[in-house]
Amino acid sequence: MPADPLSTTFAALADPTRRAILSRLALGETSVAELAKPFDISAPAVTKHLKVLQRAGLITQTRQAQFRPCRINPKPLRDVAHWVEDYRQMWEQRLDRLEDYLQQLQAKQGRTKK
Amino acid sequence: MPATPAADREIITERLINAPRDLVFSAWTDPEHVAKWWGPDGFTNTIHEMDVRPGGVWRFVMHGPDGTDYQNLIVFAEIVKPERIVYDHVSTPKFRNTVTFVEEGGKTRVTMRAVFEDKAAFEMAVKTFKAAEGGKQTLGRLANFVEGPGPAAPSATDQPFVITRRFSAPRALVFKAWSDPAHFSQWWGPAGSVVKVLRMDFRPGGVVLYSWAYPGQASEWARFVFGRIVPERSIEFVNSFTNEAGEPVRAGFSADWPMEVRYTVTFEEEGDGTIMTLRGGAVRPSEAERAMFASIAASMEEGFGATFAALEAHLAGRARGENAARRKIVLFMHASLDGFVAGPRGEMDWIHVDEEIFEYAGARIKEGDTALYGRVTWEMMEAYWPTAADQPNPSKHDVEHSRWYNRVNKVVLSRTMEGVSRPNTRFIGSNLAAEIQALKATPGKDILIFGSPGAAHSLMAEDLIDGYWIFVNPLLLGAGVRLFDELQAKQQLRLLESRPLASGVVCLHYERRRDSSIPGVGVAD
Repeated sequence: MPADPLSTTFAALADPTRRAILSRLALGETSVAELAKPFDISAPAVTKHLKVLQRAGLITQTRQAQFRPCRINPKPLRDVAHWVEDYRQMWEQRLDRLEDYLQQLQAKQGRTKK
Repeated sequence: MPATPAADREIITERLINAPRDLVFSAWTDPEHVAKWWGPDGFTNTIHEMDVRPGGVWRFVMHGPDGTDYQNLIVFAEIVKPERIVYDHVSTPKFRNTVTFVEEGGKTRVTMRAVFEDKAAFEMAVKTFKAAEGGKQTLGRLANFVEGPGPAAPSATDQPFVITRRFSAPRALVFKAWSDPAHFSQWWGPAGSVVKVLRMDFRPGGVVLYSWAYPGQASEWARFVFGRIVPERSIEFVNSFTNEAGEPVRAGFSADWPMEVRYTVTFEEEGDGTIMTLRGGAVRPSEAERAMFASIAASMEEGFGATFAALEAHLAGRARGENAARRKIVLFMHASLDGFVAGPRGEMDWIHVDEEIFEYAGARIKEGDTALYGRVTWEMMEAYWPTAADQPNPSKHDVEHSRWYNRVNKVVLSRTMEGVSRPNTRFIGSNLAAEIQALKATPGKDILIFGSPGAAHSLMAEDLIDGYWIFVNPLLLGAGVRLFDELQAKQQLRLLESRPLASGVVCLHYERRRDSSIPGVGVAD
């Protein structure tokens, strides 16, 4: 198991089925049986995915109700979304600087030509 | 064989290849290279011998895509490096091929002239072997081979992180900004930090070692090791965090950030500008490292960050009985005094714009980082803004807005474009309300709609617009496309500002009042 929470979340999100499960849960709480419906996989397979998501803190399963509905837990997702955004921003800012620099360079070349 | 003109039994195939002549010639004469590109599409080769000198033999088998093998025996007649190769195809159909390599402004024109022994051999080649088409495909494969990886070549699985930017600068200059240390150190490095390029050796296997420091903080180091470099086309490099000595170390922020990330930067010409695409992925990743990059890519592609941020805002809003700071959707629209945004046939020639309007609206537009368009308006924008700064004597507004347009995240409401891929652009075809709610809940600045009356009406119907900037032109159109339409219920507005401009246009700035109910949430589906 990866040590830091970010890595745990990333590992959980790397699987498309798990991402699809989360998308479904984003619309509201639901039961495991309901979650399994759109996927061509068995209920135990879904349970396995849910366990990974649960360990990553991405979902919680209510204990009270009989059918134990799953609920999404947005905090780790927000952290990951922010992290990815930061990573993208780092590149965007770097390219902003490149863009500025290219403009300066061309302005300078324009001047020396005249 | 006769060398006399033979127009009725010759096939000439020609192609301008974007690579230096020496490289093209060597791709033609090195058996290892030849095996990789020779023959029409779908063919592979087994080369038994290839002795490239006058009298030398080239014996090989071409394996067709249908499993048929074609034996070939060739004897070279003349080799003039790097200009000319002449050979005789000794096996049937017999012909002499003269291949010339001519330099043309850094590119190479390759011409093959195959003269067949007689009319029968020519007809056999044309009819049975489809030689004309085959020759074209062969040169196409040669071009692909020497021109290096195009933008599609790096694999999405190996390099899932993708970022694209268009620069209003020629390709040679953009490439130079990477390859020349004096240029590179001017722009590289995290924003707000001081970057020092300690070492730079721009060649395959060469290393760049650089450091950066934010004010008041200790320096950090990283390096590149260059891989394949195709001048002005692509640069491959492996990036690692390092210690001061340039030895790779783990990143501080995550145990699963790969020790080495391979980036491929490709440069493509587009008009007077250059499209640069950067792709990144972990090198020999562990399962966890691979997962991390796959998640990053998925997050960027599927926008699951957006979906879940929407959910979060929704939950947070429900918990507090209010909606936490969501992004606003603001409509910018030119209208006639009688409330039309276009004439009956879509005429918009009456719209007045000038520097004063640009100045006034420009400041507000910069506060948005996402632009929302209907398909028709988007196509109009797409035809002009990406290259507006490249035209002769562009106005200040052209330069600024072009830059803004290229950078801004674009959301286009279109059923027909769904699934199409454009830089910084997402197409929404269905589930409009839910998608827009998700977008509004994503962290970011405001979302601006320009023109796009159809899209605006759809959003009005769902009560999703939070602000209006209406530029009322001093005229009456009498008929046309309405500014407000499809409203399902009364919507209260608050006037924030009204500004008469010198041209007689009045800008009215309203916001949607949502005092009495919880806004937005619940209208999905």
